[in-house]
Amino acid sequence: MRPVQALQVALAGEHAAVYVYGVLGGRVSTSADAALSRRLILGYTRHRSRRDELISRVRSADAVPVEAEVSYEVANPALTSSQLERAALQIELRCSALYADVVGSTSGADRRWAIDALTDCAVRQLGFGGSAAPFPGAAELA
Amino acid sequence: MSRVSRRVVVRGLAVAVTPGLAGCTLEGDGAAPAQDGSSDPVSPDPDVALAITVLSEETAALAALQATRSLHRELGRELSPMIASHRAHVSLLSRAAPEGSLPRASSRRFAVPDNERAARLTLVVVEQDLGSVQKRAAAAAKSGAFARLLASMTASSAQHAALLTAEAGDRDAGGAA
Repeated sequence: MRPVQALQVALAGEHAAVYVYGVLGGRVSTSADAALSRRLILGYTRHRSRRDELISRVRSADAVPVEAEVSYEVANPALTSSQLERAALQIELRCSALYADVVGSTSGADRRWAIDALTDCAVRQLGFGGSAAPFPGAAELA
Repeated sequence: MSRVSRRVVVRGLAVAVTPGLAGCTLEGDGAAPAQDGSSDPVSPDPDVALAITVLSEETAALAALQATRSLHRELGRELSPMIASHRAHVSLLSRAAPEGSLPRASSRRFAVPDNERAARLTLVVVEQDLGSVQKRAAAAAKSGAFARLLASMTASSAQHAALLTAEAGDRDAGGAA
């Protein structure tokens, strides 16, 4: 995959992540589950920031950034705290895989940035009930 | 980039150190372009040197975790999955390293703190230091597939550091309550 293609795929993933995090954040009870609410807000903020960074990187490569879809499917009904956590975990697992692919398809500053993004997604998984894995983002290596 | 199995990642490195076959790395399967387009038949692939460096650090981290688990048996459930991850990393990297280049497990001694919390926090530093080495190697790797592998290991070390930090903090808070 060409570097800009990998960035575009990651950008498409971040569009979805921002949308889903927005849905999840709107459904969590800030009073009944303040800790989860904080984690969802942090996740939303971080993914929105990375989406914007990806748009900038794609433009720097003289390409037109992929646009967001009108809507995205949430992984489950996302009604209970447990479902909200699992949906957020799914986002982080998917983004980890996308950034691992960006690492493999780029070099220099783009690669270094993607390593940090992969690491952040991997650590964020732990806050949503995920387990440490031998090869985050590259499960087929296990 | 196309997904490649760990066998292909490692085989690509192993082949590259064979004189006359240098350059047979993973660029051909869609990985990042080589930073140096030459294929000097007598120079070992630079990614092999990276593999050996990371392997040495992985081996030391594995020894530190095992020594800590031996002294603090109550940490067994917490540390065993981390030890398994490092074993997987060592196993994979060992296959990429040429015969005779493998670091000796006993080359470094690790002093385990008697205090359980201090032992955890010492391992946090071990994982963070390892992650720094893995990240530098991932950034420098010539092969995109190998860079992806090393970046994944970097993320794994960060997960361990986060878990150990959280557990040390939780125990500390619990003790203070």
